[in-house]
Amino acid sequence: MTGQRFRLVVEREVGALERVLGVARRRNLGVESLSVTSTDPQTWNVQLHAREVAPAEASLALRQFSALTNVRLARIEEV
Amino acid sequence: MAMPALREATVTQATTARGADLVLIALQRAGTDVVFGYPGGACLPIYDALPDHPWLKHILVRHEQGAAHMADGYARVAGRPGVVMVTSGPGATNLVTGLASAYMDSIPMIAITGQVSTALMGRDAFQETDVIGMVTPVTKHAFLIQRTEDILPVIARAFQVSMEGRPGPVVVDIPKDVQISEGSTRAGEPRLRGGHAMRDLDERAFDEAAELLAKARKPMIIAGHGVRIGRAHAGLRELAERLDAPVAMTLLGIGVIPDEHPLAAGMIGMHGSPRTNRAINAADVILGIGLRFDDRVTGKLSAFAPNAKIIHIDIDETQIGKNVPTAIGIAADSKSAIDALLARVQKKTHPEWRAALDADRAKPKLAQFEDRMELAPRPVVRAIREIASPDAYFVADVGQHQMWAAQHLGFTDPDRFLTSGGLGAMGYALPAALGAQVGAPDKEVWALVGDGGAQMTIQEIGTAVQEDLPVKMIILNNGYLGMVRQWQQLFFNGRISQTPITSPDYVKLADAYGARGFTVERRGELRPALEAAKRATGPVIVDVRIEREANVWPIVPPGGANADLIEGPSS
Repeated sequence: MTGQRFRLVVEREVGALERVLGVARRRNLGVESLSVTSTDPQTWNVQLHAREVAPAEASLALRQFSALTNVRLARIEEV
Repeated sequence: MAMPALREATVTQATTARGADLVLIALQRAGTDVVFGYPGGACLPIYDALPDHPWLKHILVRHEQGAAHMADGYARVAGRPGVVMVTSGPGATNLVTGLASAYMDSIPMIAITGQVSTALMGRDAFQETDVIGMVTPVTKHAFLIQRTEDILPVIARAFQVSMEGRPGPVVVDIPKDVQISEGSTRAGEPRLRGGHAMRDLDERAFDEAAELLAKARKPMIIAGHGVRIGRAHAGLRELAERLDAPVAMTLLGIGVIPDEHPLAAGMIGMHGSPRTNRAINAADVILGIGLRFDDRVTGKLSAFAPNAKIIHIDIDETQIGKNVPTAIGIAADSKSAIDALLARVQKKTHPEWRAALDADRAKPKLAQFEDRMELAPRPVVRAIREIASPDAYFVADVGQHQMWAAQHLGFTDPDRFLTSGGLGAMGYALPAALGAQVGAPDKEVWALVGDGGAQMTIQEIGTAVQEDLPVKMIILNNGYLGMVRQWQQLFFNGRISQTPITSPDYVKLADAYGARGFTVERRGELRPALEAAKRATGPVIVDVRIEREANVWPIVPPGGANADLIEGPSS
């Protein structure tokens, strides 16, 4: 499976995951899979696997994830 | 019964208070002194506490959409967040248009929504809606408060989020039981989680931008709302003069450089001046500051500024490269960015470029058509401008009159024009004008509306009367949803479908509400009516029966390139 994997650290707050999914929807990332795990009581670790999108769109999505108030950290990797 | 002042002192000095009181204390601590709202079941505890907080003025609206637009107008004029307070369910759903408009136009706003009690949430209770789910796409952030002790820090955080970086609306949803429970008044500072403080300026990017601007032979600046929000207009003017670069403005950037300034190039885009759009097409370097290059600005993207390298500066990093490819993108607030550029660029002159632009000034092609009209739009707008005070605020609704206002009011001050630029929400102007009047009680506020938009929020004239707000509502009445009719005429083979619209007798309506009303059907009636509106000490409606089928010119056909604009009926 190819594409991009976005790794996010998201504060555990009402609506935080919906906001992440909102960015994925508006950037048309084509979510293949989504996993949410927790390592501490304050945050979720989100892994979002997107189907292959153009680098510019992926970069814009990364910046939009980073701009969300509840997102502490966002990065992207090719898979 | 305790006197209000005594009760207030008791509340603010106590170590604990009801959640409802904590909401109002939080607003006070944030510097709020006016709220636009409408009571209902799920926010009754807050309204019950309100008389104990007499420092807070409450403006009772007639519909929650009006409250949001009022808070928007207030924020644009006062320079601090407008605050809205409504109930759950329909109270919150009615806010959505106003939130979306504020979101797109980067207006700071706090909306407090009552919510059903936590035990009822998710049970489809009476007047329950999923407020967070509903407003998430149209707000900068939305909080659900689930514990009374969170009220003070969350509301403080909401103000911070609303104002930091690119401003925007924030919703705070508070269940009724949380409003009733007791909580500490000594809650500390908000938890500064997440947070998106601006990064340090990218000095290298500014060096590159300055170098590109120094090499430019045909430079243009496009200034957007971000220049107004960042209070950067003085620096912008200096930068334009230093670079000898004409300044085009977006709809919300109007006024950042005075109309009479030789480098003021006017509005760009769909209804921008032909000269400006042609200049953008010819430019070799474009410096865009505080705008998102939306479709109304660029027209057909692939044909936008085909000869230019674009330097894009915006406080919102997510805007850079989103719509137009950029040679250099810089995430920075407009004032810091302009200061950084001023420190790097030397005085330049471009006499040939300037001469070419001056030679391309638009000819007054419309005058011959206007002479045949009893009340042509442009002379009506010009008359309003001439009669209004020089420092008056103008609030335009959405449609043809909005473009006529943008084109012909002529601004020398960056802060005097308010309109729903991004969302284009009809019904915006009257309530936003009321909010502006609350924010600037000593200034004249003129609302320019069409007869379609007027009927969307006309009930707020009741708010104007109750609060004695002397807004002048000028209805440019052509009996049509004019902009849509114009598109039908120009781009849908003249097939008029559901755009003729009737109006009530606005003079009788004004009278019924306790306001004053005038009808203008002849040229000679216009100035006396506008003079009377200016003198009025309460709200006024002036119904101006303009030429029914006058159009907005120029216009770029939908989906077309800016270079393909239609200049007027003869072209």
